[in-house]
Amino acid sequence: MKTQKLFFLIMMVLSVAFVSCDKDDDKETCDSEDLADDFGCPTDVDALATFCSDGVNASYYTFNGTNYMCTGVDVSTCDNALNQIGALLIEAGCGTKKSGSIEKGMIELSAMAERLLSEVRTESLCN
Amino acid sequence: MKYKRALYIVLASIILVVVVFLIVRNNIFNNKHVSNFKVYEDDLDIVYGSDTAILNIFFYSSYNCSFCRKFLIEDFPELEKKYIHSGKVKFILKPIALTNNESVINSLKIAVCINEFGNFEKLNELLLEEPRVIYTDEFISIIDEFVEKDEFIAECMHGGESESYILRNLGSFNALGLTGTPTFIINNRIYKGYINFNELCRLIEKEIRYSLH
Repeated sequence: MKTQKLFFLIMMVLSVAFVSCDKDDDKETCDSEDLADDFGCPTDVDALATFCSDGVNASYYTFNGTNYMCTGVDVSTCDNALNQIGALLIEAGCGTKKSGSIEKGMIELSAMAERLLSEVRTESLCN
Repeated sequence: MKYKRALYIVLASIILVVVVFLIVRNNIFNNKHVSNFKVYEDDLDIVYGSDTAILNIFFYSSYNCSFCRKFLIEDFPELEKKYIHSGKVKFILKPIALTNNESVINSLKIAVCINEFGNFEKLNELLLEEPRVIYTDEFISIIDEFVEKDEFIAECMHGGESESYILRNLGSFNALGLTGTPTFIINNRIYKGYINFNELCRLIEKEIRYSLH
């Protein structure tokens, strides 16, 4: 009888442990983003950041285990966070910051992107 | 005797726990979950392959996501060559916006509208090559030109069709309990994160065997 009780007790404790260790089913969504191109990083610098947003209240970038909060729920509100990450990347050996911001008119396109842009204009419609 | 029995029970419990732990851990490491929610092909999905394919692969993707772009640039051409052109796989891309940013939403709307009523290839190439292009004045003016020149594109962009589609994708993404892109859904099993071509081949072969049984 005692052993049965012991068995059930062990199973209960382990079940509780498993359930409480299970991942929370939150509504947060995350995207990994490689900032190497944006900040002109050499190949040996890890510039992988993660952007997460709950779509309702907050969003943030995670870089090297630290969270950098944005002011809203989308990536356009993360200039400050990107500036902080950019400063760290430059310290780590990345080149001059090209564009941490996504404001209109601030983006320098590569020659290839310019070429594709003009091809999109002429080749996308069925006429 | 009683002591021995207790010992056996404790040992059996430990073994049981280890087995359960290994199964759970294996599932986590395989990144595979079975979903109760079934994903369906939508009229505006970006589809590669034949309706008669053995296997459907749904792919939740965003142009802002570097690993989605990596997959589409580096691995997708091989997938297309080996499995899509041979009629084994149909690849259904569901673009998703994890933000309310107007430029992002508009870029996805024009992508699905051009895919439906125009030639998507160059636009897709551009968005994969330089996703930040969507914030440029030139890109915005190209969208306006398309809307002005083509009534179908205009209707698709401003008639609510593409917007509802983007929202439906977000709805199914949430219903599946997904939290990030890229995510693959194969035979209702969820594979989260980037998968390279070799790994995907292994999964496809396994899932095709499963589908045929």
